Amino acid sequence: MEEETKTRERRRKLWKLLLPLCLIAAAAGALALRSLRGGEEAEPEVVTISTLERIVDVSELSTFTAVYNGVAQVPSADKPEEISYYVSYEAKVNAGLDFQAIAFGLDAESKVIRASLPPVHITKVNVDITSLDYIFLDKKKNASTVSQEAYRACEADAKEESEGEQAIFSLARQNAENILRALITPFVEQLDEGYTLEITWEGETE
Amino acid sequence: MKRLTAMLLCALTLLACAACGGKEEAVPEIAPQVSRMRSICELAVMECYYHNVAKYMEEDAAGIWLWKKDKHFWIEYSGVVELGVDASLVSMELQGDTVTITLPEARVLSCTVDSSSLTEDSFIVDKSSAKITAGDETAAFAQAQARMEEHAAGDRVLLASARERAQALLEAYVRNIGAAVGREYAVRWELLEGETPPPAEAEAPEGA
Repeated sequence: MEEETKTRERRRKLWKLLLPLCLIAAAAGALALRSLRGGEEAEPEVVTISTLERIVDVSELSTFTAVYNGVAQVPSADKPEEISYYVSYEAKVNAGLDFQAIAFGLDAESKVIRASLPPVHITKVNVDITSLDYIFLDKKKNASTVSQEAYRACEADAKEESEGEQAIFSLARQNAENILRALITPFVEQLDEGYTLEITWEGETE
Repeated sequence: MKRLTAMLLCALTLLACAACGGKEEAVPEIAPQVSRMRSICELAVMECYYHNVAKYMEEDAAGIWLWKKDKHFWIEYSGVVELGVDASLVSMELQGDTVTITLPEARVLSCTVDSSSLTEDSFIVDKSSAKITAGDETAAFAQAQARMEEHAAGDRVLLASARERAQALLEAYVRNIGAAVGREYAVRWELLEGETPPPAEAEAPEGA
C-alpha cells in the first residue's frame, strides 16, 4: 500500500516536470512552423524614399508632345515693316522634365508622400518641311529658293510661339502629375491604403 | 492526473491553432489587380495641346468673268485633345508569374477648341482674296473644330504614343508590385485591334 502511494507520488512529480517542458516544446514548434510559412511568402516591401525614386525612374514617360501647326510671317528684305509672305507649317513640340530630379519627402506618421517636381522645359521643336504652304503678298517671292528661308522662319516661329504658350506648359505639368499619380498611387495603396500623395512644383509656394 | 493531461492537450491544441491561422490574416495578398490597371489607364490619358491652322478657299466667290475673285484665308486657333485607351476594355489574366494584359487601341477621347484663341490676328487673308464676311469666319471656325478632331484621330504617331504611355505605366506597376513581394512577373501583351470605338466626346468650345 505504501509502495503504491510512493509510485503515484513519483508519477505526479514526473508529470509536474514534464508539463512545462511539453509546453515549451510545443511553443517552440509553433514558432518554427510560423517562420517556415512566412519564408514561403516574402514580406511585402515598406514604402521608403528609395522605393519611390526607383518607381519613377521611367525616362520614356518624361516627355509630352504638343502639336503646333502655325503660321510664320516673313518680312521683306528691303522693307522689314512689310510682310513678304505667310507660310503655314506643321510642327511637333516636346516639353519635358527630369523625373530623376523629383525630390521626395515621406511622413510615415501622417502617411503623406510629398513630391516636388522640377520645372518643365521645351526640349525639342520639329517642323515638318513637307507641310509648308504659302500665301504670297509679294508675288515675286514665289520662287524655288523660298523654301529654305521659309523653313528657317517656321522653326524660329514654332520655337518662339511654343515657349511663350503657357497652355503647353500647363498641360505638360498636368500630364506629369497624372503620370506620377499613376506610377505611385496604385502601388502604394496596395501596400498600405492610408498613404496620400501631395505634388508641388519647384519654386512655387503651396 | 486526468486534469493535468486535459490541460496539456488544451494547451497543445491552442498552440497548434495559433501556428496555423494567424499568418494569412496579417499579410494582405499583393498581386497585380485589374481595377488598379484601369485607374492607371484613366490617369494615362494624354492631354495634348493643339495649335492648328484652318485653311479656307472658295473659288470664284465674287466678281464676273475675268474679274472673278477667290476667297482665300487662314485661321490660327488652339485647343486641347485628349488621347488614351478606353479603361473599361482593359483586362488582365495572372497565371503564375506571367501577367497577360489586354489593351485596346488609343483613340481621341475628347476635343475642345478654345474660342478665346481666335482674335483679329488669327485671321490671315490673301491680298487678292474676295471680301471675307462674318459668315465666312463662322463657317471656317465650325470647320476648324471638325478638322481638329479629324487631324488628331489621323495622327498615328500621337495615338501610338498614347498607347505606349499606358503600356509603360502598366508594366511599371506590375514590375513594382513584383519587386515589393520579391517576385519577377513577365508581362505579355494582347493588343485589341480594330474595335469600333464610340465617337469622341463632343464638347462646347471653351469660353463660347
